[in-house]
Amino acid sequence: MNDEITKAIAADLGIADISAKEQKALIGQFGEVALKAATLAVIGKLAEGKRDEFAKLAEAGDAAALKVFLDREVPGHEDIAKDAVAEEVKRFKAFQVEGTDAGSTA
Amino acid sequence: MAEKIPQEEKKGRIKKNGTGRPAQKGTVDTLLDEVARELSRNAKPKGESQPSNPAPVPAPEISPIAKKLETEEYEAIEARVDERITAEQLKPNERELYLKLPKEKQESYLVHVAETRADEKLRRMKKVEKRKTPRPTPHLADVRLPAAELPAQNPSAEPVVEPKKAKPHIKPKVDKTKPETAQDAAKEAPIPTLEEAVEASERPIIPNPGDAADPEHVQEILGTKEGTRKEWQEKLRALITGAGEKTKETFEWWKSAEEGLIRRSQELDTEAEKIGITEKGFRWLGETYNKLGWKSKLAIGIGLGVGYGAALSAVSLPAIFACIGGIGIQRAAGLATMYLKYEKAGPHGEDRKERGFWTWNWGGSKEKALMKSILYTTAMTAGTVYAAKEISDHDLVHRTQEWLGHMMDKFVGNHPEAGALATAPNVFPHAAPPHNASPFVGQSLPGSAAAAAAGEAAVPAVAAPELPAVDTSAGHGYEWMMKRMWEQLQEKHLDPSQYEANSDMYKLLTADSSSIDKVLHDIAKQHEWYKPDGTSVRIGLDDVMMVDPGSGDIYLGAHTVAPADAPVTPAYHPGVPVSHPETPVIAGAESPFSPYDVTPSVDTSPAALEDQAMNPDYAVPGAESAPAPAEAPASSGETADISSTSSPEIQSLFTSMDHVRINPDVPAIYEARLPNGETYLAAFGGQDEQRFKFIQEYLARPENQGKIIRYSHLMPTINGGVLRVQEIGAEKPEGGILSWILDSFKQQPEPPSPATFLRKVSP
Repeated sequence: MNDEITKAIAADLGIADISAKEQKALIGQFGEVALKAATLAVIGKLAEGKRDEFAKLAEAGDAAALKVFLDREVPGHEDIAKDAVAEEVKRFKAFQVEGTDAGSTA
Repeated sequence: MAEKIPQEEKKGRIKKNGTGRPAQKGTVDTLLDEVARELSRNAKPKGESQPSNPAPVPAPEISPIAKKLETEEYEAIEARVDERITAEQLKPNERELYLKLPKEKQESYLVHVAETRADEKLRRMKKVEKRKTPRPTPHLADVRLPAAELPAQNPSAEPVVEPKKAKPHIKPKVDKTKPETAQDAAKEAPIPTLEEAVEASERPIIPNPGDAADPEHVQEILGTKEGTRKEWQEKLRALITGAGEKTKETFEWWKSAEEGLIRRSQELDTEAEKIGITEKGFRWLGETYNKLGWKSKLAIGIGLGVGYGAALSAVSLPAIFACIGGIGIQRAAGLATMYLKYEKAGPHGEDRKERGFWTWNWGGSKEKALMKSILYTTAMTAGTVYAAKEISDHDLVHRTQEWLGHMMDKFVGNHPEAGALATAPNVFPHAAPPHNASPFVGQSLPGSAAAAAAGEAAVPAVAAPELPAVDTSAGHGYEWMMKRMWEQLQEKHLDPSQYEANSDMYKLLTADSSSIDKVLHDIAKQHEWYKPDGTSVRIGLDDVMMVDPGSGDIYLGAHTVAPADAPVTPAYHPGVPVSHPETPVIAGAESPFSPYDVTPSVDTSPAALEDQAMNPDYAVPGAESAPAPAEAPASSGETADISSTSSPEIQSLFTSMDHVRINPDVPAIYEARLPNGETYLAAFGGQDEQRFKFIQEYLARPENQGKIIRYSHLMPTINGGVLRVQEIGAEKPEGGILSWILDSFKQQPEPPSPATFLRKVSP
């Protein structure tokens, strides 16, 4: 049912060639990393006094309020998060290459 | 945190070797050991108890692989081998004896013959080995290499035994493709002994015969009759190394990748602590994510922009947290304004009016607005499991990518140079919002700065002159619009010499107040917007008049010259009454949401009347028949909002039950009735954005939780502006926000029609 999404994400992560089960494991794990990285990047731009407010809004899942908050406190937060995710994708791909190279020379 | 037991160890996800490192592909020596053990297991003789067979290979057990082979393949192999032995390899006397034996004894006899010949072969091989074989290298000593030279020494006994099918009692097969002489030689030669067969089975020394390189490749390398033992060892080493690499690439690298991700997650935890984020806060994030189902994780992946490629990705943390929080789509309704918000911000955040339509259009903010809104809405709606299903069921990712790719190719890929962009025809004719831009001037929208920043970062700057653009407005015609354009040009002080002498732009820039009307009329005639028979081409309400900075020609919508088949207004003949057609020229124009102005494009402005006075030969089309705007709303001015048009007909409408006047300029929620008697809630009135905001506020009230609102708005598409009718509400995740995409694949509901409104339900 979610094959298309899985394929798209797997292709983006460069893991399209491995089995679906393995893809699932990596995508799930990568999601956590990407989410943390994006959140960290945005929170890092927040003033310390505002972080609690962010946490409350985030935990409440109030997207609209959080959007307004971030628009006000962290201009360009979409790009900040996007860059953080892109960096993690890049790092993940580099790890794959590095791991393969290391293994092949063993 | 560093002292914690690594998560992966607790979970047992990562296998480690003795060095503490993750188990990688082993060295050649390790592999060889494994191979030797595996092949030894495979080589266990079936007739172990027979004392006449000095089993040289200590293999106390039958490995699972051997068992599997035995059950699945052995019978077939044996049958074939028996048949061949019987037919080709038994000596005449042996065959005679074989045929005389009872059937149950025949097999035993064949075994006996095979073992006898194998013994003979083994003895012969040992003699050769003792005479020629050098000492094996330390690395390969344990592998019990086959007598590599054997094939060269005894080609006639070359058994073609497939490595995977090696069996203790396997009989050598004779390759019928061999030359006749070779077959003859094989017949003469004794049947290979058990050891011979075992040794043959040892040839493909690879970690896992079932998973390793192509058997033909193995045979190619190991089956050659040439080469010294050293060469054989080198080939074997290369084979093993290659097999190891192949196995690693396909089976194990991802384990290391997962380990890397886990470690990275821990690093981020540490980074969070360093910048003062409490462990509790970040732990909540990880724990919550890990509790999510697979679909939600996929949705978050999409929401994070993964899967769209870096170029098209957009990330919305609020959307993600909505996903994590599992909130309904209703609470996310606020993001429905995202589209319009982006739409109204130019690539650098300014209102499109400030930089002109050209920049707005070709600078990419329109496309960006669409992309961003799509991604936002995807992310938002993907917050629910249902929406994730919707996405996949509609092949959304693929289709969106395809569509976006088409858009990018159309707007960027085919126009690598700014100049090319600037001179390209308007392939996105209805890209501009249908509204007159003026109502939005000066409006400050929440998040516009962010949107502007996003747009600025994503959209390459296009060096386009700041040219005027004029939106359509009800009751005004082509020449009126051109005159407004000319007025704007007066403030820009552009150099006429930058344009071709016969271009519209040059004519406008060189005209003065005394000549402009004639110039405008000439241009209208030249571009066939004004016809020689006195008719005028009807102007769509969503069309925008703009100037192509490359050619300097004026475009109205997608056309500089009016389409030949465009509908026209009645010709103006002074003194002759003109009757309006009962039915509009454009299909669907009777709808209050028609994208076309159903009134004749009559220019009754003072400028037009002045035109007429100054130019007796210039007849204002339809001027006499122009209906006087009845009860023109004060606030609407000259705007022509398509989805809440201020036509006199609507102005005079009242709800049928509570008899409240339906004000097309003020957003409100009405109860409407369908032809089948069912009722629904409809949002109507005001500009699109006002209406979105009103819906959001309405749905946010506790008493309205769970309600569904139907509304319409105009959505630019690659085919031009189209009116979209959508529903938004807690129970309608497939409509509302996501419908910007999905509505392309679904049948739209009927648009809210004021004539069907029963009562007003909002304050």
